[in-house]
Amino acid sequence: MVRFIIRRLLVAIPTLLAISLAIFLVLDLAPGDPTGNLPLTVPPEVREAMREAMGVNEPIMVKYGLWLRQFFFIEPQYIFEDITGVEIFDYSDKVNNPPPIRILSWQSRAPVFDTIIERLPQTLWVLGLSYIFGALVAIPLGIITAYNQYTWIDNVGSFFALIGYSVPTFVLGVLFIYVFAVWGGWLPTFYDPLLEVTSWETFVLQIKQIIMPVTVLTFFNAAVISRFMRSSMLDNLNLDYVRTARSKGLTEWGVVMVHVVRNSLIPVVTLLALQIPGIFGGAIITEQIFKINGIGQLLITAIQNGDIPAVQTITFIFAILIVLFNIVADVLYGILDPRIRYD
Amino acid sequence: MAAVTPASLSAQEQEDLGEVRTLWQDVWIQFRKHKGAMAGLTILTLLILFSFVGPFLYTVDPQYSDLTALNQESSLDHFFGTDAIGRDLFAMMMAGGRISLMVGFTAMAISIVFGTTIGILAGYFPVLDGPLMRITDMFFALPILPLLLVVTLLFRDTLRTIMGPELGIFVMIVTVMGLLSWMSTARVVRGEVLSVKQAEFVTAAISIGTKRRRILTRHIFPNVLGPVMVASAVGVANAIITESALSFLGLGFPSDFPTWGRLIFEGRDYMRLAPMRVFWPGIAISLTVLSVNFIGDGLRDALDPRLRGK
Repeated sequence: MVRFIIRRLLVAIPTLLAISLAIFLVLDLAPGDPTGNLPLTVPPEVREAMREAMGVNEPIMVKYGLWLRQFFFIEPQYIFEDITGVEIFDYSDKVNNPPPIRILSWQSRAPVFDTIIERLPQTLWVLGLSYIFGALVAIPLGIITAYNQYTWIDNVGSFFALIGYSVPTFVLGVLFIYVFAVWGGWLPTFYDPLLEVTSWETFVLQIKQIIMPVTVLTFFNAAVISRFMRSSMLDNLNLDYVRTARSKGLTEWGVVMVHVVRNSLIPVVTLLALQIPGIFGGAIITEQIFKINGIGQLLITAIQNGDIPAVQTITFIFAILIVLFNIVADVLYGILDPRIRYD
Repeated sequence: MAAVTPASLSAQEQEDLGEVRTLWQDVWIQFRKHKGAMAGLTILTLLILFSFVGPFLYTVDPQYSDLTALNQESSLDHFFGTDAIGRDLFAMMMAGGRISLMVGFTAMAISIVFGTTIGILAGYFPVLDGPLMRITDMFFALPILPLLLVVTLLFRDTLRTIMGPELGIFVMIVTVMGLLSWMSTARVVRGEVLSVKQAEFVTAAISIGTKRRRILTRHIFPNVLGPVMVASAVGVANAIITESALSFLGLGFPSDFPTWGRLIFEGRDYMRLAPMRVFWPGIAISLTVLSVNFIGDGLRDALDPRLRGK
């Protein structure tokens, strides 16, 4: 197993390098200009000097190499400094011996990673909660609908799953805003990023403003997972070992919950891991609906403003997440299913 | 596909066989039993008629801005009312439906052709299997939505000047979506080809000297059509959702182009005043995707012989 993980991680390196190069090349074709947002009074030679200083005029492969160095060597060291407080770089003489330059956003001139770390908690809260709730709703639902296949319970459950799967999150989100915020007035229309939880009242407000985004995403996650759980249950319910378990006199509860559910969960657990990067994609839309200042919104504003370094970095982080969770899913599969041996 | 009536058999033998059905006749019979799938097919047909035939009956220009009739409620003049600059919502819904459906089906077609070709090549030729599957894995690791957003926004203006505002963006969105979504089809088709390749009828065909191209087109291809059809239903649904999501984020088609997602994006600010302006396009997107998904479910059940007779 350890050898398998190491091999997969080694294969992941060229994959990620190829992806980062692809993203870099696509973005390089973009007609963006880091000085485009400056006032018109800035003279052209100053603009040119700024471009030169930012390294925009370098050949593409030089830029790519520098970016790789920043992403994989310089940024991790800064993050390490942030976490531990140990100073790796020499800050004593910033003029003559400046610490290495970080990946800077063209919009804010701030390090992209700092902004990401600042935005991450909001995204993780909404995504994490909706994911956990989604799984908690979906797995029982999948078990019940599969066990009662083709009865009215199954029809109702499967119908709702198909609706949750078919109604896009932005349609459901807008509907929720209308019903619960505009018409009912029970919940705030938009997420207020400035709200700080300091007292019971602000805590209640925070819960209130997070309910709608979490519910919308929960609905979608639950629909996807329950459809998968149901079909996985159906694959198992008619197998021989189930008949054996019944014939040796186990209770129906024991047969279903101990034997069938445990076996059916194997592919579902791997799906749960595979889905995680996908819901980051979903976060882009959800954050836009409810105006949450998370990673997704950061990406959208970066794209709209032609902020190439930020777009490049965030997109690449998404790619890393996908590759990583693919490996996690494979490893989980190997651990859970004794029939699968990787060595 | 025509019914296979073995001509060599005598009349008596044919009678004994009873009615001979081809696979696809059988699938259609099973499909018709699936109530959800038939409902989906009906609704999808109605939506297609609404978007493509509708404009001939309801001849209001969706781009025409009637400044004397802003923000109107539903009336006989404007079935679904008008928007903030006096455009007729009913006409815009029809125009938006045309775009959504065309994007959905074209993007699906591109991704299916691409995925099936790669899947058949990888499954049939062992030499190509390794490299093609590595490429597939790599595409799987691409963050689709962020990339789509980036590419759309960055190249919108360039393509607009080359191919014109409508065609340019249509071609770009459809191509990018097609090229970023063929991977699961390729994987499914490859698996199917790997198992069909081992089947006895293929060995038999090879042994009587059938040319490779003929084996691929006549024996392998028809046998992978089932999963491909299910994949195409899923593909249409995904493409329609993705296109509307792009428009909803304000990044898809330009603002003078009333796609369903765009109508929600614009109507959102008027929700207090006229909630139906958001709900009509929302209902339209959801109904389209729901009916396509139902059709996909029906196809999957009809093609899976394990579910027969239940």
